[in-house]
Amino acid sequence: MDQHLPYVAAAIGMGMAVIGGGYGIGRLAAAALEGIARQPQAGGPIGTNMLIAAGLIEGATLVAEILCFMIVLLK
Amino acid sequence: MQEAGHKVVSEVQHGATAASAAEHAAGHPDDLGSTIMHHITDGHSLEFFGWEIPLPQIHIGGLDLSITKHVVMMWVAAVILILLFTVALRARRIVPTGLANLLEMIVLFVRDEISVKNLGAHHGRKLAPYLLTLFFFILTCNLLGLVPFAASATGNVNVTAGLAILSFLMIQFEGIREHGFFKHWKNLVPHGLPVLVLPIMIVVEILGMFVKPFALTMRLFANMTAGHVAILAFLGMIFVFKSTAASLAAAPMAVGLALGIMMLEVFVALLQAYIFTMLTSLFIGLSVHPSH
Repeated sequence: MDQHLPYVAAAIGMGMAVIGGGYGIGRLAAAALEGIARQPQAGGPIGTNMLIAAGLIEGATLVAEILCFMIVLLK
Repeated sequence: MQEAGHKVVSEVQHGATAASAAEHAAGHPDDLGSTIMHHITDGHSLEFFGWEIPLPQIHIGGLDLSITKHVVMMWVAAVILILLFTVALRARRIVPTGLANLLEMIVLFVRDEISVKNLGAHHGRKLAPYLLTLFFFILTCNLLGLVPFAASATGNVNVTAGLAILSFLMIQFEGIREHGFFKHWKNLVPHGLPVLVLPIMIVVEILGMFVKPFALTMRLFANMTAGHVAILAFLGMIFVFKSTAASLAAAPMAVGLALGIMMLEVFVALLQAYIFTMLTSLFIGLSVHPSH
């Protein structure tokens, strides 16, 4: 059991990182779509800023995923 | 059939530990984990239809200056870009056609939508060459990862760190050129803050100065690596089953999923090149036009 614990830790960490990133990007896309629905002519700048923020959230999520990958590799 | 498949798999699993040294030397590790690692990490050889083309290993004064797989891929990207633009712009016309038209569209997008928008007309046009180089180089490196026998150099943390350090230097250099050396460092914190919050703000802003390029590095590297790992993991599903029948059944699904991820990768390659260029121009803009 003990030698499998790192795998369990990596799997749980991976899932939690995805939950966080998915929630963040979901909230972001919802707010952006709402904004575009209210004011369609602002679609361009809203889309650009949404992509930037999505990139930032994605960056943090992927750092967590890489760290989980490192746990498995360096076990 | 099932027994034969089982035998092969167990041989593979046992062989991996026994012959791992020899396998690593030949560049063909046999278990799934090390196969994936072999494909996403840098190496001292190029592969072409099962042939190994060795690359020179150069060590100068304790520094490893070897010409590795990713170095060759960066050269390939540079050669592709030089050839593409020379061929496209060989016949200069007022109204471009074909390839030149496509390239002009992308160049204008980067100049007007990324550079000028974040930096203003004057700095935007002045810095457009740097941002265009960054965009096309990252895009070509990303897309090379989807070409058979090639690898994406941007899936190497050293390459992305190098690009981010260049961006960091550009951020500081442009700020200093615009405001002068001391004024630039004073612009780090907004003016007119209460003196009591200054110690906190200075620490936070200095941290932020280094977090920006670090985030650029990790974002590009992790995105490219994650895409390759996902493709290889789906294809590896064919080989993890113990029976041949299960492997055959899994093959269409695995190839289909890998194809889907590869299509996503084409989009991610474009998006990451855009995000890197966009954030670089945004950060240079913050340094050139600080908030007062």
